[in-house]
Amino acid sequence: MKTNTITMLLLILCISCSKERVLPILSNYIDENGTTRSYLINDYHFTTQLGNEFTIENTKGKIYIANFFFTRCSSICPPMREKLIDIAATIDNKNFILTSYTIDIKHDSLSVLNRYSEGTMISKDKWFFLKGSPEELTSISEKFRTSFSTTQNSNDFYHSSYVALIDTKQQIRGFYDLLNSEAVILLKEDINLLLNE
Amino acid sequence: MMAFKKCYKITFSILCLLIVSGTIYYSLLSNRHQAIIKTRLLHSLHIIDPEWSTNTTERNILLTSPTFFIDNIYKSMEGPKASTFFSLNSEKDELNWMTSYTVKALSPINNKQLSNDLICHFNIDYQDQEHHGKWNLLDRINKQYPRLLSLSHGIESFSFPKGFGYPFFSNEKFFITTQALNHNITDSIFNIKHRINIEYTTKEILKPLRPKTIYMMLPFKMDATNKPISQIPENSCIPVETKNHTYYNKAGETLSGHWKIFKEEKKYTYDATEQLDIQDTVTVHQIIPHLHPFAKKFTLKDKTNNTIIYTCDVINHTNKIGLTNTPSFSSQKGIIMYPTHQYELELITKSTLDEPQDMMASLFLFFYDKEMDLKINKYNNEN
Repeated sequence: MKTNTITMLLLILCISCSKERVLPILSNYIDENGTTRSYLINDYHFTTQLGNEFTIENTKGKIYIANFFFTRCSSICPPMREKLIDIAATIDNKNFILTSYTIDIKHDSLSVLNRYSEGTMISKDKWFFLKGSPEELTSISEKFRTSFSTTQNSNDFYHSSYVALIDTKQQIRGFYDLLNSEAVILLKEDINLLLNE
Repeated sequence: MMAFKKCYKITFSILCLLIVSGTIYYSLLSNRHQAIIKTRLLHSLHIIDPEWSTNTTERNILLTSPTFFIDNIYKSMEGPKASTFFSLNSEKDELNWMTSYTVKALSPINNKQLSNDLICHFNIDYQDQEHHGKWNLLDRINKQYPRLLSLSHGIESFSFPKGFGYPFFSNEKFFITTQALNHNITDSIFNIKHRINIEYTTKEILKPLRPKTIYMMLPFKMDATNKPISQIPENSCIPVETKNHTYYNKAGETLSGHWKIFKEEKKYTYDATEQLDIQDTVTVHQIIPHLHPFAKKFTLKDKTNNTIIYTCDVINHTNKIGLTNTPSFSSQKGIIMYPTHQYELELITKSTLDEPQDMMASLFLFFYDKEMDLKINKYNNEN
């Protein structure tokens, strides 16, 4: 009995000593008056590649990552897609999903998105390819702290190669460049960290 | 027993084949790729220390790289390298100011400082979404590569002018890369580490600086790599390679930011107005150059005013390959730069060697950030 108590105490001590990395909450900003404001990613309305609604209900209780893309993109999207397929295949947890928002809403019809989705070989209830109105797209890109342009410029990308990581409380916990292999390793670690929170 | 012997023979043959083909493949790789494979192998087998170590105090962040194995000549961009992310304290959301940066080469055995000739470069990248998102400066996101600065061979340390700094929050994430260099040592094999010291302050209120990187790019034709230098038009180049550091201008020309120089004095110019992309009148307070050995003079000119903003008289080693000093510019008063002016980079090179050498020429500029200063003042009043 005495040995068990000592073992238990040692175990508690070890757990409290092994400090886990903490991911900061990044969905906040300093407003024009110098006050820090927090926000949640909780108000959006998109349509999935299968024609279903995608709202806050789909991300409740989930950890997810979000990125912007378009199916005709031949520059940064193919390597980004490869990394996302790897992440989707590696992290086998029903509480983790991926969301990809098309910025080419004229060309990327739901059937185009569905075909693109099928090419990934990832389950359609794990990786959602989403389409929304230009207003919805602009609004959510601002929340994800990114931007996109519809005119190609040699010094700029159409969109960023970053993904945002969102926790179950709809807060942003990290930004990661999918074209940076070190960042992808960190992203996988951080997803697992949030899944175990 | 016979079946076991046969199986053993097949396994042994496959293993031999893999070793032979692996060795052939490795020997055909470039020096840079060999260094990547070697470093990964040595780190993954823990033959040399693969870990970064971080130590923070109230005044500085000390980052020590994994060990790098130096067994060969490693020119710029070829040597062993390592990258990592760091933040000051992920649990705190406090405003701080970076004020100075130093990188040193050390012996992993006794931590004694080694020659700066073993440092190719050390880069810090900020995270656009975190840095600008925090201040709600959304129009700045994705507008430029998020490079904060690069310290390189010839300039291994600098401090911002008194009263200026780079603002960051304790939980803000940065990405760093450091790469080893060895232009001269061929008679020994040894290990090194790089130690990076970032000094910061929390208590003072400083003026914020905004970084901007510009780099020289020269036009080239894809078949230029096979041509003699005499056939290359003025102010164009032979690229070191055509995969990395290759860019395209609006006219569809291919440009390289990493090119070969030869044994003759050569002057290159580049119109940097578009890269600078100055939107409003700004004041530059710090300029850091990034150059390779055999650079002689590097200048940033205001072509409209016909004035020189910054000139770097490069001091090369006299008895071996390397840069003794590439002086930087630092000023509390600063120099005004205008959105309507034209700016030009001018580089003079002179190699003393018969074999072609590689060249890059970049500037890291730091402008007073008035917009962020107003935001920081309000933030400080609220907190």
